[in-house]
Amino acid sequence: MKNELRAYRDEEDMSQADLAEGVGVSRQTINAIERERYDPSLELAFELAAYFDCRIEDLFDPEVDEI
Amino acid sequence: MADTGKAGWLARRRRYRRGAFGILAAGIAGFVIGISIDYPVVGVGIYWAGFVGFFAVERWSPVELFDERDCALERRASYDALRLTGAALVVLAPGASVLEETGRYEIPRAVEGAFLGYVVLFAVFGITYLVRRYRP
Repeated sequence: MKNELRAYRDEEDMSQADLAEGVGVSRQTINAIERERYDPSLELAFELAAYFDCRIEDLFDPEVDEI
Repeated sequence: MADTGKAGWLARRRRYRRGAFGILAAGIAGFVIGISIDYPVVGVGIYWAGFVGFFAVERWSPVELFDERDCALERRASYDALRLTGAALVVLAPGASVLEETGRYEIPRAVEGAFLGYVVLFAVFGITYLVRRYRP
């Protein structure tokens, strides 16, 4: 899933490990999300949004086609 | 920015994971050494203890040893393994049986055992699937 995680992380000047530490997952998981190789659970998506104090839609773009 | 209060979580996770896998490796090494020095019962005991220790650390460690992506990878790998073994069973088992019935090939006992193992694996899968479906 497309996401702005890296941009938000860069804005806060933090490493993947810092973010992983903050939301309780491994650094590899953060890396996989940023590289769009892993779609996080709803729980983790909410946690990430809360961490960056933004909405989930600001972080993740599901690329759902308009009907 | 939210303070999730998880400082040092990664380092603790790394420590506990190393400990858990170290216990597991020690159990396997104990088994190999026990067999090689003619103490098979002791070896098996150490082997079992290694697995019990691994799962004990996993169950009671204060941090999660495996995060959601680890679990997702495990589920995906299990699914792929079942598909691969299923395809092998569907293609090979009836073919081998037909060849044996027509006298063109005799299935070695080891291969028969492997087929039986596959059948048991899928039977267990079917049962656990039904259990999960009706008692999630």
